[in-house]
Amino acid sequence: MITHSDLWQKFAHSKRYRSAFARQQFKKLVPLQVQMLRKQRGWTQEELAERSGLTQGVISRAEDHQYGNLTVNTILTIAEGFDVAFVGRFVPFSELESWYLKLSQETTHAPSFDEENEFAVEFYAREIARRPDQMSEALLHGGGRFANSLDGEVYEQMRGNELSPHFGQARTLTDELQPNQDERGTYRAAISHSTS
Amino acid sequence: MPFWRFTQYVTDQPRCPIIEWYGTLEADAQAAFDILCKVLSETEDWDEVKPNRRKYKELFKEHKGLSELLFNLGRRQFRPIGLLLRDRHEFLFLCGCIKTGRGTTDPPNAFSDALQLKIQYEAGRGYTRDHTF
Repeated sequence: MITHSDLWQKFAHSKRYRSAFARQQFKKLVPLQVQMLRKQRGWTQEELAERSGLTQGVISRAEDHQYGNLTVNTILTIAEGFDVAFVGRFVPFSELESWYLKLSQETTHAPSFDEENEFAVEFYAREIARRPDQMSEALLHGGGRFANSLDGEVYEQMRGNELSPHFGQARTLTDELQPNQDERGTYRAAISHSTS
Repeated sequence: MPFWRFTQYVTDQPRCPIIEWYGTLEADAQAAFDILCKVLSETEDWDEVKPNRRKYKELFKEHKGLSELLFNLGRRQFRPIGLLLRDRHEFLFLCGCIKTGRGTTDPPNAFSDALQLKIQYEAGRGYTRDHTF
């Protein structure tokens, strides 16, 4: 397995390497993620194709990291099939490195909007029942971000999403609630369950 | 945890032929090789796709026992060569080459060299270590 310093040394050694790496990772790791997300949902290529309004052949090619001609339009259509967003962002190499080194089946979770929303509603119901005096209208609008603020790793997955104006208030309340380890585990298990 | 681990063979001289070959590659080929390893390490079943889309090949006849990974850049066909140790979910790199034609490679004799390295490895000579990618 490559380490932080190994990959960074390669980046530092050659601009050609890092440029080629950035290009290759986009061409080959997007197909890998499509395959990972599809398998996490237990879908066949046909099912994903149906949900995306594409053919199984297109999905098959989209998962083929040697194909190399996957268009952004197809990627966006597949994202719609998963009911997730695909975010193309310009990032420094340190961010690419960090993401690349963490990329695995375990870290590639992207629950659909409905799954996220269902979890947020359930979470809120529980929290409101527990601390009704602390719950404000603002917190109700904090949505999934409030839930995600409970756990650094999960929050990290959400990083980059536009935050609700109420998020700050919700986060403060979360800090005050100070959920214990068991509760964090329960929430994480719920998230994992909802994404599996 | 990745599904597959990649390792490299170091001879008792000591020489590491796969790293020597990697050092001869252009930067774009090095990056493609690194990312191929990443993709395969996170792919549980390499045989899930149709045979013509597989990224590796087990060799037969005079090269029986060897396997090669496959990646192309334009018309260049790169072939890292090694041992597919399925029971350990490991691919041990021995050396590598570029296919230049039907049965010809650069460097020449890459596959017979790989067979010699395999014999040395199986005789317990040299050692293996993690391959970084």
